[in-house]
Amino acid sequence: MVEILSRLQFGLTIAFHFIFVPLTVGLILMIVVFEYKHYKTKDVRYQKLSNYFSDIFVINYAFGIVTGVAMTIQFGTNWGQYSVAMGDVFGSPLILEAVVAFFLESTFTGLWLFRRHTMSRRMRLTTVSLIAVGTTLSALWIITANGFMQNPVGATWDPETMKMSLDSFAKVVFNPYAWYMLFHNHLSAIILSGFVVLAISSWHLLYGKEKDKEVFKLSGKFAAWTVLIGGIAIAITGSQYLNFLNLVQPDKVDIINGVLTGGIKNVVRIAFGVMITLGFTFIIFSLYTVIFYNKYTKSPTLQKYFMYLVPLPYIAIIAGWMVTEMGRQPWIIYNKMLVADGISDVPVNQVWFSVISITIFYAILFVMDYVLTINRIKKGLLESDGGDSNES
Amino acid sequence: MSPDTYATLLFGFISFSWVVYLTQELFITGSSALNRIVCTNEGERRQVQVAAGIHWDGIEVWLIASLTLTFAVFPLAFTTTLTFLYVPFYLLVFAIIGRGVAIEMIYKLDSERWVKNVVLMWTISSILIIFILGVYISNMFLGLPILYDGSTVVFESGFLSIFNVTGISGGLLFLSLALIGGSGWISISTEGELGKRALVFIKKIGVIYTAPILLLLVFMGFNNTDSSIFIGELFTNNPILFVLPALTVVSALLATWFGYKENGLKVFIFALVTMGLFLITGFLGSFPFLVPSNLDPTMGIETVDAMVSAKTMNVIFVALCIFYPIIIGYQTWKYINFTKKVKFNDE
Repeated sequence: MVEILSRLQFGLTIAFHFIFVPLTVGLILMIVVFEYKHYKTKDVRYQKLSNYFSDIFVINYAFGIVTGVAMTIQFGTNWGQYSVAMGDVFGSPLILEAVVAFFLESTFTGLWLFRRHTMSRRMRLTTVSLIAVGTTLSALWIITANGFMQNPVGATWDPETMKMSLDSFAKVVFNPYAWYMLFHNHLSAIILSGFVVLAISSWHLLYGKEKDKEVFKLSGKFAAWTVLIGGIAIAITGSQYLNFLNLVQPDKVDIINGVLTGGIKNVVRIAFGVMITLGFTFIIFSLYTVIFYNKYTKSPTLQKYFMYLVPLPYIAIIAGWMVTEMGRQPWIIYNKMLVADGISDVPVNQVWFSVISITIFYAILFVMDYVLTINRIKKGLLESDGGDSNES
Repeated sequence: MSPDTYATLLFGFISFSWVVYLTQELFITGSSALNRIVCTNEGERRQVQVAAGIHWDGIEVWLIASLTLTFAVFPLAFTTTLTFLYVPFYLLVFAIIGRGVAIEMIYKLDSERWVKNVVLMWTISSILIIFILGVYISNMFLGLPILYDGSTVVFESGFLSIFNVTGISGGLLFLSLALIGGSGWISISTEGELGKRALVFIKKIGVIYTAPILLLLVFMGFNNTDSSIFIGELFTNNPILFVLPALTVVSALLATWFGYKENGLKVFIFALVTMGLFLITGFLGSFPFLVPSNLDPTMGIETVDAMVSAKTMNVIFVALCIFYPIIIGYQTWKYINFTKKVKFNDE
């Protein structure tokens, strides 16, 4: 029971955490582009867009960072045996993530949130660039850790003591699996953010203030290009990723191809199909929008499509992670250690306590995030929009 | 360097991270908790929100760093502690999530009901964070009811045993220092009457007198068990170290004195110094134990019992030597450049 509950809890907390993360990872890159354009051209439309989307970034960033703490402590509370077995390999990418990435992004996000309005153009560009470097490096290190679980290289497993010992840190970092994942994952975050920006721009073209519309035509075009380029890039790198998978995790590829079936394997195969179908849908949608952009700006139907289809990139990302994580079951470290051997020795009633309380708490948080984000989207561009400050 | 040397140095880094985290968390949670007392309108509350909010997420990462470092270098100590303190750690996580969301989102909706509820969440979670951390840290110095024989860890009682006299006094000590330091922070980082009100409040209610008393209670608790930090390896071999607990008490008394004098800056400084010295005393006294046992002083988990391989410790050590100075550099730059007095603005 402890195992089932711990799995359920980890799945729930990471899926919830990952509602916020991809949007912040992709959105901050788009904000950097807006700030760069503003820095170069002094065009205030870009500054308005940057300020507007920064507000949405900040809301989701706050939810992302706090729900991330729940992930860290679970390694100790719920996956104690895994943590001891993997201590020699798993901890160093995590500590690098903290010292290289988290400090950078958090320190400068606090600044961006409360002191944006006091900054020069150069300082603005520097601040958002540092946040973007932080979020990207954070993805690099956490995926290094996950990549090792998928394809354990650079360390030796001792089945007697049930412990992994490090041979070469460089091999852990340059694990090809992790790099395929990193590109795939980052591109998916960029597509998702592009889609969200496109949906928000569509809302403003449909229902927003008349004077805002020119600015949102700009962001809509930019977002459509982002989805298109991201979509094509992810299709190309994705197929190479799959070829590579054939070498290191042939079972997973067999599941995807329907050679191995039954139970959870069917779920994995369906999830893969969903991800691929959605990926191609995004390319077609964005290609049409880019080519017939003027038509899009006048077509309420297409604009409504983008608004109501905004859950799709989220579904695609969750489906992708289902393939990755369910596809390697029952292993916690591929071909080395079983998930069942990784759990902590804790009383089952305590795990019930955390599962139930987290579910309720996260439901409340989700409603809060949803209400806040939608509310901010609908307010549109604000005149004195220089960050969240008590000074105008 | 030998593995033992690495383990000792990294124990130092972990202690350092806790000191950096808690001395800052002190005034963030403290000033947050005081908002309901000292703010008479939303404009003033916004001042406190900005004064605390601009730094909180940079500070939060020091907690993540402290925990992750323990995980990365001493996984056995990490999992033993967190498995034993399963429920308290989840409560801490909920409080941290609640505080983080609240501090940034208070004025994101134009609804009085929203503001009222989020302010309540901000206040309660701030108090909970610092109290739970106080109970946790003082129990880590006191020792947990564990028996470790070199291969397996046995818990002799449940997590409720951390709510002993020393643990609760430790929690209250952290809360008391937080309110003292927090009132100092409000007075040095906001304009107007706020700081004055905060200082008058902690004096009138008597918070300033509780810190030295609670501190003595905690130290007495440490002294009364077999695993006492004061009979640990370092204190026994170097009696000069007893100057540290003495200085901690002196610093707490100075915080009281300047609280009585309503001197915001000095109250702030001595609340932080008290916290810093308390932690240094505790970590030095616990060494080489990461998780001391309060049942049998020889059966705790030492650094060498829990450490990972020298190769991994080398990677982590090098990373810390490079990045800690950089992080401290840009965070200091941020304090210097962005700690101007937060103005009141009638909108």
